[in-house]
Amino acid sequence: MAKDKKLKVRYGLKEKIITLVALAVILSSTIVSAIAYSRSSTILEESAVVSMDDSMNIIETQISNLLDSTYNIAKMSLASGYLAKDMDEAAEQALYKYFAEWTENYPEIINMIYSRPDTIYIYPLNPAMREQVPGNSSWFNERAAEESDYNWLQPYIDAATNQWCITLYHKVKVDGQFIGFIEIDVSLAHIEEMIQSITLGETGYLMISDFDGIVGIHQNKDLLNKDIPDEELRQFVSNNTEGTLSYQSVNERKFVVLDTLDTAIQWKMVGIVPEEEVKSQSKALLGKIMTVTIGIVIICIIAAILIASRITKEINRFMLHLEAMGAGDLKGQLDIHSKDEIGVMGHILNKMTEQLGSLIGGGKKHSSDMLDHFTELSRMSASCLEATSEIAVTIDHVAEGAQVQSTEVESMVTNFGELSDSMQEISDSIAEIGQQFVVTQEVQKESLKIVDQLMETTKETSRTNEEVKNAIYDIDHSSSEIDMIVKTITEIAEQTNLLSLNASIEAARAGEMGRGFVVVAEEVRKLADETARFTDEIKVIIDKMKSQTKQAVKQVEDAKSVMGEQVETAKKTRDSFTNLEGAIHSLEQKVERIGTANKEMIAVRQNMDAITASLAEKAEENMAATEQMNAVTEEQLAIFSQVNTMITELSTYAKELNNEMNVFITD
Amino acid sequence: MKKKELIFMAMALMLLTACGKSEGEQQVTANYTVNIDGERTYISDDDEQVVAAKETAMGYLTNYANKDYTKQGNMEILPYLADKLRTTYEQKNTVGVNQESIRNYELIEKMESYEISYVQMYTLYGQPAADIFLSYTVQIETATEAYLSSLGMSAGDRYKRTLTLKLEDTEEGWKINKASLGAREVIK
Repeated sequence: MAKDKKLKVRYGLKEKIITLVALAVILSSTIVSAIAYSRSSTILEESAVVSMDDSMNIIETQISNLLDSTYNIAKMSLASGYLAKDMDEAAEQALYKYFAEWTENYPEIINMIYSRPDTIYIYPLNPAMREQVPGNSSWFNERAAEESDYNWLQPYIDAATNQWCITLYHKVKVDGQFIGFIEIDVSLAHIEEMIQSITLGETGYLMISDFDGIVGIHQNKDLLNKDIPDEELRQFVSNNTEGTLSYQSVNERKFVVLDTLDTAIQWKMVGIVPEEEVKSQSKALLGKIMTVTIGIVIICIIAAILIASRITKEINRFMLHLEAMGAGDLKGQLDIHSKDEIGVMGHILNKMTEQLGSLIGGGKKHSSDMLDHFTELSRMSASCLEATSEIAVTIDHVAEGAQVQSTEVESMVTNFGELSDSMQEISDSIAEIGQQFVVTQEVQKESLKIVDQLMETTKETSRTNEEVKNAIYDIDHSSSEIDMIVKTITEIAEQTNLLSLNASIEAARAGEMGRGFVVVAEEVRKLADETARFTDEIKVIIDKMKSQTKQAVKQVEDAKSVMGEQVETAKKTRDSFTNLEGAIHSLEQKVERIGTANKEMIAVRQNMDAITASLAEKAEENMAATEQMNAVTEEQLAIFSQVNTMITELSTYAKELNNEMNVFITD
Repeated sequence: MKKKELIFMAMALMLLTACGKSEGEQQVTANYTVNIDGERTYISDDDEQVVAAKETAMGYLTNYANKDYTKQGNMEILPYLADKLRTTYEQKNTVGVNQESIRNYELIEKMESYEISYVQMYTLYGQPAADIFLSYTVQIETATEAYLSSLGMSAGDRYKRTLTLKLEDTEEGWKINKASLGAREVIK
């Protein structure tokens, strides 16, 4: 067996532990950083909001103080007694002096005015204003109609000073009767300065808007009394009293905090900070967090490496021990240093090794014994197989014999069948012959009669034949006579012809007179020619007749000879028929004896049929038995072969087991 | 020249072109808008809104600065005013009063020159609006002695005045809703 390749540790436990720890730490750090970043962004935004709120609170406080002071001044002015229904020059001067004291002490006061329906007292002095008659103005009457004793004019830019101002007007009553207004115009310049001096963060600033989103105070004068340039911000300011907004401005994203002053002035304060500035702080914080996180990660990874190294060191020893165990060394014991789970596992492994050694030792002995047993069993199985094979061969022989026997018996039965058929045919033939004998005897008798008749007929024919012969001779003689006559006629004809020719010549010589004779001569000549021709034909016929006559004579002669022979033959035939009768009788007797013998043979054959039938049956049974035996033997042989194969395999396994067991070192 | 070099040059040209159009180097004109941070974005003199606003301002100025008691039609400024201001003027008969003063003072003044310092475009209550600040020079051709003495000027003298106009874009075009005159500055 090929030796196992040495296993290489890939992506070992140490790497996994370190990776796991690193991943866990990085993941945790990332999550913590993300949360911290997110939270810090929120905190910083909140901080920006708080910072802006603080600034706004300061502004609000300042404005409130200013308004309260203004209101108090108004109240004190009302109580001063300088605001009278009728005033002479001295009272007017005293009023101016009184107003002057306030303006000196409160530089925010721009104007102090006492307006009555008939006149206006204003400080600092303004002659143009002095000439006005408020009672003729709508503003005066409208204010007088108000239920409230005092009110504030919303901030406006004073035309004279170009400063933001706010005006408080308070009804002046004497004995409960309205006589006019005390008005105090207060500059918001220092509020504006304060607002403009406030910075939010590094570049953020505060601005003031009215409730319609129109800029009131801004670092840039160009924006005053105009819509907030960014429509999104303007809508936000117009529609909300407080809150935050993050939006994209022209150049950058802005973070906005909105608050509404809780004062008589309908102003909204808008803190605007570049969002990047807020985020930059968060980013800086994130950077710090990341730095710390990376440090923590590195420390954790180093710690993980150390711990993993310690763990894997023990595990490597485990691995070496297990490797030795894998190589079959069950004698060694693991040297345990740690007392943790791995140490406990080491103790368990040592115990297991010991028990395994004991178990394998026992196994080795058992496998060795088993191998011996299997060897013996294999040998016995082989013997068994051999014996069974021999039995099978013997049975094959027996089967072959049985087959031959069966075949022979079958053949014998067939032969007996054929013999029986032959005997039957013989019997039938004998019977037929018997009948034929009868017929033959009758035929023989009839034949004798016919022969006798033949002989008689032959004799009669011979006589007739003689008569025919004589007749033929007569004909031949007549023919010869006719021939002679024909010769004479022929000669006459030839002579006639010659004469007719001479007559013609002579007639021709006679000329016109012999012309008729010529014709007769010619006719005679033609008759002579015709006669000659007829005589030739008669001659031919006579010749032919003579020839036939000769042939007929010859035939008659031959017939006579044949009839003689025929008579002889008929005699012989009669003799033969006579002899045949005796032979037939003798043959009949012999046939009868054959019939008797055949009947006896049939009887014997019937007995033989029963015997051969029994023999065939036995042979078939014998053959079936041998076939069955053969099948059983073959099956047994197959089983023995299979058993032998299994024993061989088991023996091989036992050897392998023994070899493998021997790999273990237990002693 | 290789293809790479051509591409590089094209990209460099694009970058340079883009730099040329940066905000820091935008063409400064008298017309601008101001963003939330107070930064100005300048608008071309050819801008349709600017041109329209200026036309209204100049119409007003021409009718206001040129005065001739010998002629009819002085101070025909009402068509250039927004509804609210026109109503106020009409209620106060401002034009009539001024025309009467011109006649009383026997005043003939002619605007010699003007200069628009700036046109700031913005919105007010969500509607387009503009502030136009300009100065103009006027020569007093004739006037009553009383009037001239009240001004401390003599016939033929010139003075300079500033005029701040607030305009709004109405359905009838750009109209003035506030006009603030500066003090006369005598030109010696």
